[in-house]
Amino acid sequence: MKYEAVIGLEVHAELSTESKIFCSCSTKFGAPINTHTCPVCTGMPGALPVLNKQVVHYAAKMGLATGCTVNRLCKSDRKNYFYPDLPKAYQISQFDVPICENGEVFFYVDGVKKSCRLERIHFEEDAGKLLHDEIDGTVVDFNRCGVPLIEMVTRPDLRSSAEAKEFLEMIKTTLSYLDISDCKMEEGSIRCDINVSIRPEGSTELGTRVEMKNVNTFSGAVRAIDYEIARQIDVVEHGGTIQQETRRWDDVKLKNTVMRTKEDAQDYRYFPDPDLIAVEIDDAWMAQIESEIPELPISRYERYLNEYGMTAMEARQLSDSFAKASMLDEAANSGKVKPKAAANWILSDISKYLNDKQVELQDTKLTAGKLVDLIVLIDKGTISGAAGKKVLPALFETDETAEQIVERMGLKQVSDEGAILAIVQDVLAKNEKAVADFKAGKNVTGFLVGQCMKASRGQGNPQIINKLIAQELQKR
Amino acid sequence: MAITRQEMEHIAVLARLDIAGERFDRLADDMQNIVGMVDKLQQLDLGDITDVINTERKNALREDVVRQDYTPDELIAPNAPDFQAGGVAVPRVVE
Repeated sequence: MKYEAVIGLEVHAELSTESKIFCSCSTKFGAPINTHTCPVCTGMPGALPVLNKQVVHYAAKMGLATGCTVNRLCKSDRKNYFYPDLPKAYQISQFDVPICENGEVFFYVDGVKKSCRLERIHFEEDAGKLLHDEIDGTVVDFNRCGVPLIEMVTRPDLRSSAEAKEFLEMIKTTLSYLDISDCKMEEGSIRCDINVSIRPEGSTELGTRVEMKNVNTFSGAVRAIDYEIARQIDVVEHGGTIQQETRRWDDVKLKNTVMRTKEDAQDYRYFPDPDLIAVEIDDAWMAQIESEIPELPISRYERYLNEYGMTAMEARQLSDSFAKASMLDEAANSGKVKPKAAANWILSDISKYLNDKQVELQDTKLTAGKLVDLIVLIDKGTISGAAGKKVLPALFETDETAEQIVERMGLKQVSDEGAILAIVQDVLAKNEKAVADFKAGKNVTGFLVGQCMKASRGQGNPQIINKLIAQELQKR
Repeated sequence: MAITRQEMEHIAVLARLDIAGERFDRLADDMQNIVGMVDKLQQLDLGDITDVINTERKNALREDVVRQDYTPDELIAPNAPDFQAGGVAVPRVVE
């Protein structure tokens, strides 16, 4: 029998606020153990939480960017459970009235547009970290307690690991476009739980689902999903039934194991947190949030494909980076350069520089305006394409304009035919053998152009040199 | 609404409480009283108020500003039964 997988995700993303969600402690990653703590985030009796305004702002922003309805009025609830990384023995989260509901995320899988609905987005606090290598036992580091998270819960709309991966990539790209999360996977900024079930192909009923925890990378999610689909098919094919349970994914051993079964399913006893009052987003605040949403990655991707005639890979590489896409759009909107020319610079030399230096575009001094100037200099023939590449590092690193750098480095191309003709005639005079070879029918143009470029210290316009060499050779 | 013995046992497990014998019955009585009080509250006529959120007061929010007033030695050490390597030491936890 052919089976179809049904997949839903719960994605947690850490928000890039300066301070924690309910207290003023820093959220900075990697601080010495317990140095970012206070009575609130360590759950001391009597300490009272006060909600960070920015968390509400960021959560609503993600909601708008994913087509959700933002609930103008929402509240906080307590999710109760005991674990050493949770000092209050409850997590402040949102239960029946989350900040955002009913969204939809669009993405492409192998050129086909797909979508996955979002049931909800809510804000909540992260738990602490358990360290197992410090002592003979476990040490609790509360630094991460109270770091703000948004949890995005999907409907079971995904059908394969490839779809899940593209969905996750789109969530990540959207978070970075909105500038509300660091998206540092290695620091656990984005984590997900995965629900998988299978059903006979063509069926519309949902099968029993298994939840998988401990998935920390997108490639890990792909492996975990593929493993679980194969495991469930194997169980069913051998006459078994799928048990509703939670399994832990081990990305080293590449298998999952039972964590808890339905019988000992968690019972969190949610109730409204009496320490926190309602949150209301009024019209002015909402308008402010709306005004901060840029053109989203999928819209840019489609525009690059359809209007700029890029390949899917080019459009993807550009639209994946807010800084690169914005540079491209700004350059194109200047009307001075062809979008394709700007895109080529960004995808090749600019990307290579950023990669080599391990820096982000927005952290360099290169601007769209500087890139436009550079391309215009090449288009006008003031400098050669090769000289343009030499100008680029200084555009990244200094405040000089492209013209100033060209001037300083002496890269100005000589396009004056009289001056070039003199060089060509001189080179031909010094290379009688090449001229003789030409007369014997050999192709010597490349060699002669090289000699002329050398004689002009790289500044001669190669097109004009080419033309004049052909012209002069004909005369001999 | 009456609290069954089974519900009491479930809540005791969730709260990690060991409530055997006489104590169990006493707590069952207490809980029955609390539930009885809530039952009574629910008989109140609230007119057309159906909100699940109390909006009498709202938006107690703080600006996103960092302030660090405590060190682990001041805050964690005096409150931890066992303080080691800068944190609260607990029995080895592997879920």
